[in-house]
Amino acid sequence: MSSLCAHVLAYSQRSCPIRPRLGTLSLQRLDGSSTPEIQTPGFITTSSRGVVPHLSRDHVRSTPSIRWTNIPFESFLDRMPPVPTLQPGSDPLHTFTGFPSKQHILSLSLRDPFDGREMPANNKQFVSAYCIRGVRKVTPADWKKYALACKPDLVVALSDVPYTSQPHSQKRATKSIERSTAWLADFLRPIPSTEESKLHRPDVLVNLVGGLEPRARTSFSESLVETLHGKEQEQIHPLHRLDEGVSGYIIDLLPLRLSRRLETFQSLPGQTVLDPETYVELARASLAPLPQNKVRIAYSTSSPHEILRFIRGVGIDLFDSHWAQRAAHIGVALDFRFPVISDESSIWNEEECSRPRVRSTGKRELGHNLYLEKYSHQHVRLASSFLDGTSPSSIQDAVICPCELVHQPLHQPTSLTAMPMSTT
Amino acid sequence: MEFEILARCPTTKARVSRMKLAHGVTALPTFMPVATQAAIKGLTAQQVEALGINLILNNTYHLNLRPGMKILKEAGGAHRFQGWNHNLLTDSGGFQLVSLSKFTKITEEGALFSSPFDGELTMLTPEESMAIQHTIGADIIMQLDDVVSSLTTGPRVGEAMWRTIRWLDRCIEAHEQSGKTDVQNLFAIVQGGLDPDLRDQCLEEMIKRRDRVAGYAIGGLSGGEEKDVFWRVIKQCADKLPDDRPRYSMGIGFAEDLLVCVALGVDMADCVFPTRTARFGVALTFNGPMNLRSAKYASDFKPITEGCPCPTCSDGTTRAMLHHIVALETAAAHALTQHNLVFQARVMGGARDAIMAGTFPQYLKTFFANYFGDDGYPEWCVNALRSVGVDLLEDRPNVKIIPGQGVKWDRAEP
Repeated sequence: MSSLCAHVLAYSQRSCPIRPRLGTLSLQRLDGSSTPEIQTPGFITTSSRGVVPHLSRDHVRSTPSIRWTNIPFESFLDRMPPVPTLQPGSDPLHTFTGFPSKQHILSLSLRDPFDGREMPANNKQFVSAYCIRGVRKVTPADWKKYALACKPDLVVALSDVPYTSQPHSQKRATKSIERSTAWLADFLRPIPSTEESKLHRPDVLVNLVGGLEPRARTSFSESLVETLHGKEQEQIHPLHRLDEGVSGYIIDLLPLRLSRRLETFQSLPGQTVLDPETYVELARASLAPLPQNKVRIAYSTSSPHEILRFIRGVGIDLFDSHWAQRAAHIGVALDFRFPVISDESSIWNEEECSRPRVRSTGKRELGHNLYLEKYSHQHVRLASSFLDGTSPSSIQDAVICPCELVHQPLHQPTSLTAMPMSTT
Repeated sequence: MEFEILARCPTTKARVSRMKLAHGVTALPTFMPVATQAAIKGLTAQQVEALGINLILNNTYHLNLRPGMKILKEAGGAHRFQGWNHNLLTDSGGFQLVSLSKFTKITEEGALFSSPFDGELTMLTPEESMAIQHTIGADIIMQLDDVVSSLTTGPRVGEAMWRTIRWLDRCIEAHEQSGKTDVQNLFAIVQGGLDPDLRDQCLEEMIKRRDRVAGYAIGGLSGGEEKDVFWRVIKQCADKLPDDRPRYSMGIGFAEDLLVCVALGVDMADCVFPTRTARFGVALTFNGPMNLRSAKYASDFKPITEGCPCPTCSDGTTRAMLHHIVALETAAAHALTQHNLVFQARVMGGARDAIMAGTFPQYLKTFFANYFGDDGYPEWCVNALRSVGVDLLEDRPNVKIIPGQGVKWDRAEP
């Protein structure tokens, strides 16, 4: 069994128990090797059908910041048995998807965390998952079988997050917590001791469920750290608490946003602006009962500002880069830095590269929309915020003609995906 | 341009040569990938360079429409615009007279195009084509020719051929007056449809101008004509074109077509086929095309081709993984484009090595045996290669002969 090593290097000096922190992550493998360190707060690369969208493998290799990639498994359910489970070799998922185990950490989740489409209901036997041939029912036993066969580095335990039409009842929320707890316990149940399974038991991440109700979220987290007795404990023996088998926690924002949006529309017709701190508070409710030494992951943050809020509010260590990859997909080259660079800064050099425009509100945009006509005459690099040499990427230093990108549908997302990935 | 023949096949008309242009040396015969709009679709310039490719093709008509000459001038030419530091060839826009014929009207002055984007009318004259290609800055530029579909018959074919010659004279004048003859090399294009007499007349006229052009192209083919006619036109032209000039067969991309053309004496060819078919999910191999959309590859854990040096195969990307993403993720188009361009380069590199070693006839026999196997050889290939002294059936007398095109496909199953 490999193990995820998370080291906190420094905490902020704030007095609250859940604080911003700097750290490192790496995966220690049985053969003594370990993956390159990931500095936290950092990013998890998102994938679609097992690939980083728009990047060929040589581009992935040449982007050193792609270190941890999450693979949603559901796209592989179009064939039975799922093809990655048939891949020969000691690292089936790494081999099949082309992320070398010496360089990359792979986590495996059943559902695509960014797919919020309405789905048929889960029940206590299965979770509904989506593939190109339709909806598939995946039982906890199926999920365990797939995960053990694919041998990812980390696996997200099955959780019951409903994507049926909103709103969800209190009873449904309670079921979600009960099922997620039971399925985690089932996942942690010892594997029959064959040599192979001993070698490849992946680390487990758990999705902190509980919906929009802070007490429910806290209750779920408390169930992870409470000492089990009797049959419940026997199920996970030699562990005593579920949390002992967990390497990290996931705050999944997408279902919260879907619920919250409906709630807001119902209570305040016409009001669409949500309090951005709401989600941080919900995350705090989940994380408060849990130990501080495990990795904290947030999925579906929607902007760099929200990322900063989650770092400040609850010390999140890893975020997905979906929004940045999505920006590339629609032709936006990101170009910003924190702290925000003042207009008078010597970093700006309009001759070398124009800065993102300032809106009438006085706020500077986060990047460049390369579909705008003005960029067709700018034969310069894409990002202006790194002209002082702080860019960690050679890709970013390249001169890419924006007008070339927007006329080539296959090129635009490739070049732009490599860029934000390289800055993460 | 410096053009030097390094070796000749003692049996066929094939030759290996060295063509030195302003952006480096290109070994011939070679296949030129097509970057219509200043990019090989799916690959960055750095990736193309990493594949060992050093001569690509841009399209004048398309670059003139978008991004336009103003932007190309600002950028300092197409090399800088697309980040490509190697050799570049631009076609003249003549092919678009056929491919975009519903937007075009031909006069003696030039071709009147209606922009497919905004309907704006543009007159592309030979002088304008030269001016645009000078702005683009390609190492090899093509004359504007009056192209008709190879299926066209009647007086229009002769009219187009003679107009192509008159336009060549105007292109030569414009090019010589530009002061760029030392860095940009003008190629003439032999037209004349499928009529041997017209082809002969065109060849005769164009060879008269040999001191004012750097090379010759054979145009007006690959438009759906019978392959048995196609190869005879290629042979007729290649036999008569000056030995000391490169010969470029336009629009040729299937591996069997390339090798037949090389055997007939052709040095260069281009086609969108390998890159376009990659985007449709087809990988090219020495055993024939492989349609990765087919269910038979769903759990095939081999690479496309064992031992292939392309980034896709050498990284161990399996057919199963490609089947999973093909036509759904652009990453599949990137991976297959890389593979197919390396395949084309291997076919031509293998031909060069064989010509240098004096084993080109055997190379042809081995290629056809592997590529077509028991499916049978296209009759036209057998005939064409017999005309230059290679009998594909010598060692395989019982192989099937397929009349017509004889193209090999891997049809997708449900």
